[in-house]
Amino acid sequence: MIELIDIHHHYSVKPTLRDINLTIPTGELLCVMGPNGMGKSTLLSVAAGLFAPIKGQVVIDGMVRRSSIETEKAIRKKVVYLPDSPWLPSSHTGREFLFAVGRLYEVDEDRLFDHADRLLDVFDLAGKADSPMSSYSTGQKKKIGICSALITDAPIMILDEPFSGGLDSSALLALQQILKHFAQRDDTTILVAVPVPELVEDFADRIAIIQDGRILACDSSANLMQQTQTQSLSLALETLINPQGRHHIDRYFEANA
Amino acid sequence: MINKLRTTRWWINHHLYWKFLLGLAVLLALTWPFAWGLIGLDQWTGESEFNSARELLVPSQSLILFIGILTFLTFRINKNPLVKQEHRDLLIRMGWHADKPLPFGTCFFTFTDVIAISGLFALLYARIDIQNNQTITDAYTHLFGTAPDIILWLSLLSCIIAMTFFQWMTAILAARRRVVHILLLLTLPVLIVYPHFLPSLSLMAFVLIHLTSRWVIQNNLKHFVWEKPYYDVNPVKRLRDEAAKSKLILAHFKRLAPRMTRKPTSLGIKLLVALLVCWWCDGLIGILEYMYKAAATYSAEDNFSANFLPAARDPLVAENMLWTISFHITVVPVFILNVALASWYMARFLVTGPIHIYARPFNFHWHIRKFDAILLTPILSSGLCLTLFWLANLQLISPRCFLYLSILGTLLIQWAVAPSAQSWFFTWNHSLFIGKQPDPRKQLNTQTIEIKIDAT
Repeated sequence: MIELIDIHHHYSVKPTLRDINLTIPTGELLCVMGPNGMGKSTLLSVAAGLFAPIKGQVVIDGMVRRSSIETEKAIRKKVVYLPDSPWLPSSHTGREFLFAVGRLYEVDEDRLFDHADRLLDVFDLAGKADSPMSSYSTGQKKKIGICSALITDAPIMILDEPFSGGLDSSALLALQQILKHFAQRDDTTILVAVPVPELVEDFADRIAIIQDGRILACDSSANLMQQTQTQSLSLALETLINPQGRHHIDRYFEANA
Repeated sequence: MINKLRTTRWWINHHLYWKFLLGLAVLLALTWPFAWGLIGLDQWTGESEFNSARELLVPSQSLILFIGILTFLTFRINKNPLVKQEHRDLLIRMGWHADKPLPFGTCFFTFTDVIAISGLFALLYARIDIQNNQTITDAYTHLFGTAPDIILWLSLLSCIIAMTFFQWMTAILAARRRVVHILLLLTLPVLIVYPHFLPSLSLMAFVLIHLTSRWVIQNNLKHFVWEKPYYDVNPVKRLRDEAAKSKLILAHFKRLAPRMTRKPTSLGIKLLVALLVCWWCDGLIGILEYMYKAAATYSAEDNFSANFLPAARDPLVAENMLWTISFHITVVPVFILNVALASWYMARFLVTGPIHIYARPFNFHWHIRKFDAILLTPILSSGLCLTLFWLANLQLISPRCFLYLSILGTLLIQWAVAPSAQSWFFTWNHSLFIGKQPDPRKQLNTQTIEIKIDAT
């Protein structure tokens, strides 16, 4: 379970997160959405323990993040965080990287090798698995980053925009299926930031909409659509985040005409 | 079974670096066709600049080997997460701690490394020795007496020295937050040459440095992730990047990140560092004296030191050299630093409102104490160095005394009179940078944060 209690965070004097209270029970997949620059990545970084919030605390399975070294070590054993652009050691091969990450999470060797093979097949990386990562394309780097998060078998996953960064349609579909599978399980908690609603509306248990560092709404996609009286999640989001959006588009075309 | 084989392959890739060595071997092999091609071209054009392929092969292969050794050492050092921020971030994110092995292989030199580096050195020395008619062999014989396998011993020795040097550099980097470690690491190298430069003692000093560096790195790896400065994944850098983006003054980050404030260094540590700097300079003079004595003892034909530094044979030249070096390591840097500091500060006088050099007469503020105090350090330290230099010139104090007093005095003035880093930080950020004053509307957002600034 992830609990974000009264979180405030600032970059310089600019408030990035304000009064965030969010609980993600075990087994839930919560998707964070919102316009760019509104604090999605910061929220995930705070949840991942990379930033200490100015105010408030993050509780993972009853343990307060950053409260002590022992607690933080125990938390990090069960949490994997995938940043938007993860660092990959360029001189190592993709397979070596996956093994290294798996070993950090003390995954059993046999399971590690088999899982790595299957992940590499799923993301169409088998042919590049034994080449240095410096030779990978942007999309392939993104794929190997996703594989590294999945290979850990961590019960809590915090994924920052896993769908972005040049993934091909096959990889998008594969990731969707994998997240859908995790969403159906009761032992894996996932906090994921996604900019496009269509990618996750089928399987996200709840969607948190964040704007100006505050949570505007947090509910299932069906409830969000019902609240906004719209037919799709995209329209629901637009209604909540940018009610003037439709008007601006109409005005743009009127002027062009 | 298949997985066991894969594990073995993974281990080989991690520990033997055969790909690197194979690449180097290919490069060395390519020098042969390159040399023969050039010789052929030379003969074809009829210029005959080269007598044999050896003239081309030896320097090119030596260069490849030398670059190869440096690359290998750098590559090994790069395995240390303390060297690379991203590597460190990854380990922190993934919850690594010192009880687990490093995921991309150990960052310490292993027995395999010793074999690889010594082998490369052996190849390099064999090449150079052939080229220069056994100069290395002669030099080695002079320092250590005769030895049956000079190249082998010299390669091992060079390997130890190179590994020690690289490990020492990493340890300095790793220990950057611990004054005691830094002092220890900076003091030990002086033992190589001072107070007595003897090959066997120097070698022992190298071993001591190697072991100490290893201990410092291990110690830092054990604690680095969980130490406060590292706890925030380098908060200072992150916040400064943000500051650069938002064009806001840095001082605000101090308010928002109270953990960034460091404990001030105690006077005892400062004095210790000043004395240590004096000792290093004394060590430098010690080396010169050693060379001078060596030059006076041996004849020119078999004297390695005299060949190395012929000028040291002349007592007058040696005395002058002592003076020149003392002058260059004290007066010159002090002047350069102080002039740069004063100029940088004075330049602000011309452009910044409250302390504007033209605004002062109109405001009847000829002297603004808290800002002008910054000029005190350059004036005092330059004045001290000049006075001491004048006294030494009149032979009232010895060159060594001049050296000690000027270094000790300058450092103590810098620490005692100059504003602390924090007050300097606040002073120039608050008052001396135009266009970077905080937006009052944005300041309202910081109301909930406890503000504690020691205005200087």
